[in-house]
Parts: sequence; C-alpha cells; structure tokens
Amino acid sequence: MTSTYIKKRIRATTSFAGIVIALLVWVIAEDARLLPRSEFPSLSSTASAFLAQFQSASFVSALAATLSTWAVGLAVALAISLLIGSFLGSSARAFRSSWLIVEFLKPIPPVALIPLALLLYGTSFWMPTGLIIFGTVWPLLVHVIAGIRGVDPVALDSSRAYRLTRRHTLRYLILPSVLPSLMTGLRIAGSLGLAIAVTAELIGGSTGLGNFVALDESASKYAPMYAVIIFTGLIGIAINSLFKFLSRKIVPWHHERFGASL
Amino acid sequence: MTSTDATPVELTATDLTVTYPSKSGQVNVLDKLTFEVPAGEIVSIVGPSGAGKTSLLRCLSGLMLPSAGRVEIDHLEIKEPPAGLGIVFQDYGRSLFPWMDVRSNVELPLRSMGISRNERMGLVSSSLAEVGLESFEALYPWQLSGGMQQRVAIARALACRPKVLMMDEPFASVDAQTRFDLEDLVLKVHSTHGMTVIVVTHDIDESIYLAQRVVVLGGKPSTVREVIRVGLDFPREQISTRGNPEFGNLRAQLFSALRR
Amino acid sequence: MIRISARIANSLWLPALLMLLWLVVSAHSSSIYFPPLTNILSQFRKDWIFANIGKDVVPSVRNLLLGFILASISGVVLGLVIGLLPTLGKAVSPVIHFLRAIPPPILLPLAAVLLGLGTSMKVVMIAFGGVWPTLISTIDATLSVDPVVLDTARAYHIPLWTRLRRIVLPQASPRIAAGLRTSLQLCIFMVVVSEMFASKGGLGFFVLDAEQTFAIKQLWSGILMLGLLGIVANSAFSFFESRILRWYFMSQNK
Repeated sequence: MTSTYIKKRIRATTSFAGIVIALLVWVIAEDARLLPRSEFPSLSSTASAFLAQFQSASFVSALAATLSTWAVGLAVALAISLLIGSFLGSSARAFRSSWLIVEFLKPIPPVALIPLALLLYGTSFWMPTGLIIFGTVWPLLVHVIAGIRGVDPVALDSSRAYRLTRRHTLRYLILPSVLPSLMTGLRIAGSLGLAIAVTAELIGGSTGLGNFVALDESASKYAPMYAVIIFTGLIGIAINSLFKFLSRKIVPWHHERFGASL
Repeated sequence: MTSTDATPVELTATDLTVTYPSKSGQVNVLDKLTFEVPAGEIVSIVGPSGAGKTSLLRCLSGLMLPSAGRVEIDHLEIKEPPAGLGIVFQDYGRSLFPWMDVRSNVELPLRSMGISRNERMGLVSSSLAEVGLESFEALYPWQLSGGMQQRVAIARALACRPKVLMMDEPFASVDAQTRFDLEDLVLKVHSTHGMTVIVVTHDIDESIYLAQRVVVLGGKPSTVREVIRVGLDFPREQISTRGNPEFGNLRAQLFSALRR
Repeated sequence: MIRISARIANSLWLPALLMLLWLVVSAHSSSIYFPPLTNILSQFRKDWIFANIGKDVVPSVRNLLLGFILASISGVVLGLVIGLLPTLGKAVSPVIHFLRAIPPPILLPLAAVLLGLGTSMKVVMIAFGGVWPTLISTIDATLSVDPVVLDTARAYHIPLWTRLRRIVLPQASPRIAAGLRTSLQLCIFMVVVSEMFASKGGLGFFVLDAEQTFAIKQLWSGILMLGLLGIVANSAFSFFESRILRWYFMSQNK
C-alpha cells in the first residue's frame, strides 16, 4: 500500500516538474528574446488573456457552440452505430455483405465533406454537427461490431446451456461484453469529434472556438489566440479524462482484469 | 421408464458423428459413437487431447448438433440444451461473467428459470455453502483463485438442481492439490444429490477415481474403444482408493485400450 | 474456385447494388446539390485525367508522404527514447498529453503566424497532427517488451544498438504498426485541412474552391478524388504492413 502511494507521489512530482520545466522554457525564451515578441506573447499576457476570455460573451457563446455540436454529433453517431453495429455484428452474412462499404467509406477524410456540408447547411448548427456524425460514426461502428463479435464463445455456451432468456443474455452477457470496446471507440470518437468541430468552425466559419482563433489571428490578437488554443487543449484533456473516468465506472472489471493502460 | 437393465438409462448417444469443414475437404473428428449413461451414475469419457472430447460434450449438451447420429436424454432427442442440465467448462475464467459477483453469477440461471426471489436466495446460499464459498459471495470471480472459480461454476450448476451434470475437463487448469480437492467435491455432491454426472477428461487416473463407468475414446477419427466398469467402492478416498490394486489393474486396462 | 467466387459475390453484391441505386436514383435528379452520378463521373474524368493532377493531386500526395514520414520517424524515435527512459517519460507525459489533446487544426492560425503559409508549414502541421498515435503506441510497446528478454540481453552484454534492433523493435513492431495506421488517417485529415486553410492548391483547396464558386460537379469529383486518396493510402499501408510484419501475422494465425 505505502509503496504504491510513494510511487504515485514520485510519479506526480516528476510529472509536475515536467510542467514547470515547460513553462520555465517559455519564460526563459521570452526573457532572452529568442522569439519575436509580437508573435510569441509572454506567459503573463497569455495568462491574463486566458482569464479575460471568461468575461467575454463572444468567447462563452463560441465555447457553448463547440461543445453542443460536439455532444449532439457524438450522441447521434453513437445511436446510429449501435443500431447498425448490433445488426452487422450479430449476423455473419450481414457483416460479409457490408464490410466492404465500411472499408471504403471509413478512410474518406470527414473534412473533405466540409464544402458539401457548407453548401447544404451554410454556417448553421447542422454543418459542423453533420460532419461530426459522418466522421465519428466509423470508429464507433467498428468498435461496436468488434465488441459484439468478440463476445466470448465459452460465455455464450454457458448462457445457452443454462437457458438464459433473450433479455438476460442481452443484458448480462452481450451488453457487458461490448462495453469495453464501445468505451474505447467513444474515446477515439470524442477527440476526433472535437477536431472535426474545430475544423468546421475554422474553415467553414460557423460560430465556435475554431472560428474564434481564426478571427484572433486575422486581427493579430496573439495573446488571446494562444489563450484559446491552450483552452481547447484543456477541453481535449477534459474530454479524454471524462471518458477514462466513465470507462472506469462502467467497465471496472475490464480495468481490474487487464489493467488497461491508456 | 424401467428398462430390462437394473437402472434406467438417462442418456444415449447413437452413431454420433462430427465432421468439420477444412481446407482439404471434410475432417472427421468423431465417428459413430454409441454408448449409454445410466441414470444417477458418474460416467467419465477419457481420450487423448485432440480426440474431439469437447465436440462430444457440446453434442451431448445440445450446444452443437452432430453431423450425423443422435443424442437422447430421457428418450427425448437433444437439439438444444435441455432444462435440468448443469454444465462446468474447463475455462472457468471465461464461463463465469467477470462483471457479476459470485452470488449474481450463481443466481442468473435461476432468474431465467423464473424462480421466485425467496427461493433463489435459498438455492444460491445452499449451493455456495456446499462448495465451501459461503463467505465469498460478494467477490468477483477474477478476485478468486482458479480452484475457487471452478467451485463457483460448480455451485452455479448445483443451484439449478440439475438432473444431469456435464463437466468438460473441469480440473485441467488447476494445480494438483486443488484438483484432488475438487474431485472429492464432485464425489460428495454426487452422493448428496444423486444426479447423473458426465465428466470429460484426458487424465486416466481421474477418469477411474471419479467414475462408475469409463468410456474410452481413441483413434483418428475417435471411436469408442471400450466401456469399462469401475467396481471400486464408495466413498472413495484419494490415498486408499488410488492405492487399491484394483485401481492399478483398471489403469493398465485403460492404458492399453487407449494405446491400441 | 467456386467457393472463392461465391465469397467475392457475397461481399460485393451490396456495394454494387448501392452504386447502381445511386446511378438510377440520381439519373434524373434536378437537385442542384446532388447532380446525376453520370455527370459527376464525366466531370471526374475531365478534372483528373489528367488536367489538374499536377496542380492539385501531386502537392497533396507529396505533403502527405513528407508529413507522414516525418511523423513516423519522430514518433518512433521519440517513443523509443521515452520508453527506454521511464523517468523522462513521467516528466514529459503531461506535456505530451496536453499537446495531443489540442485538436491540431486549431493550431493552423498559429502555424501560419510562425511558419508562413508555404509547404513547410503544411508538412509540419501534418506531422504534428499525425504523430501522437505512433508516439503513444511506441512508448507503450517499448515499455511492455518482456523484461526477461531484456535482462537476458543485458546478461549476455548485447550492445544497446543490437538490443534495439534485434529485440525491442521486432517485439514492439506490431503495436507500432497499429499506431502508424491511425497516424496515417490523421495525416490525411491534416492534409485536407491544411489545404483548405489559406491555400492556393491541393485537393482540399480544390473542393473548397468548388464550393465557393458554386461548381457542384467539381465539388463532387473532388470529394471522390479525396475518398480515392484515402482508400489508396490505406491499402498501400496494409500492403507494406503485411510484407514487413509477415512473421507476426503468421504466428497469429496458428
């Protein structure tokens, strides 16, 4: 117990030292005038710009826009992939007939459709959201199918031998077997969805953090631009941690048994 | 129910044949297996690894349809797992559900059977007590040792009050000492409940120690080489039973049947 | 022979049916946004055989190759170093996790300020966007190399370089390959985005320009070309992967 505690403390200290060193590099580079001041704002001005953002109504509405398209897009993609995935995963014939389509559509970069989405939806809510749905449905679908096809055959034999009802088999065997894979898919889709949202805003010009940064850049307001980029990184971390936390809550047996690392 | 024999027959396998498709056409694994399992007896099925023992047990339990031939339990042809079947697999880590604690694992089949909550409580508790795990019911399977997990699997079978208990290499993945304990547990459970038990194993000594009758499989594809009656007295005991000269004779007889 | 053709038929009937459906349903389409497939295909021929290949396809493919190679090399090298020096790993892990969490497209305005709008900026951003899966999986794979094997190698005084080449890399390569595959996807993503952001060439520019000039048929033919690029890049990766990791796939199929 104590030794794992000490290890954790050492780990935390080393990580903290890493952050401090990274910030020190910034300050030293700034002091030594290694970098052009105008394009490389100081740590302190970036920090104050960071705090100032929360006072600005346009920033808050941009943040809300990004997060809402992200959440709605991901939720719709999840629903679609659960629906299609459970069908494709449980029938070998359906899987064989359709995997080529999945394999062909999956590598199409979702951002290639930005112009089409702009054409269809303009800069409305559904432009970024539709792109997020198209982009994140593939990793989710692939993980749902893998989860269903990966249900342990011995566990399946047990459930059949003990004549579990359909409902019990679904609730106590299929669903728990799919969840670990689904959570992995969700984490991948989560950060991909954020990247798509930001790109759609940056290129397409709909309201959101991506557009916010583009506007700051064209106005040469570099300190707030840095602040928003850093803030977006923090959102990325928050999303990652959220799914990691959910995964630990929802599929604890998976982590206990396999000690999943990431 | 009563046939001409003294004890009624519980299970019959008739001309049971299993073939699998492979790159070079069909591969025959089991070829026309015919044998009977009398009600209330312990019968072991012994054969070398690769003899198709698992396929055989999956056919006997109705998990798999044979390519030809038939299995009957209580004179009814088996096409899917029948009610009143208990089953224990070699791979306890995969047959128990890791997301459910010990109690829920044992309880789940009873819930599907539609047994009332009160009755379930009683059945689960008594079954766990029978395998010596009454104080572990709130733990998860993966928190237990291999032997204890296999006890949970046995408790899950017992809770259903099975007429037939089938076990596929149940003790092949536990250490030697645990294996002896679990063998004695099976004998104790059988003497308490008197159900029919079918044990598939590759271990000659185990097949003799547990059973009243041994079905010997051999050859490629596997056929029934011999059915040997085991006359050793009950209750059996690891040291004296295995030290009995009769045990040695049976082992020699089995060994030569397997080698032939 | 019959079995193989049955299998092909099994996996091809639905894609073929859908293509046919697109062809038929769109044939008399009067929607501005969804022109008939035949028109799109003839536009595709006009655009890409071989009129705009040099202007738009070549820069995209070149940037993809350069960016992906840069991402692969830096990901694997950094990953090996970090994986072999766990203390360094702990120190840099928060920085890595932070940089990885930034959606890379949002860095384009910053990169434009710092590096200008040329090819080098695009290549750097493509590599930056794609490096993380390779880096993370290389670190993980290096950390999970069997310690007994490493101890054995040290006991026999096998030099570091040989240890890396003969022991660490082969054991880690299947997982590194999995990381590289994800990296490739992200690099393609960044190729398109970088060409859409203040650019005058490349496939990303082509489709965005088609949208802005309301050239719907060009837009569709550009999207088809981008889809094709993604598919070809992935198939090429699979081809090289199966060559290089043949021993691994064979051991898995046993």
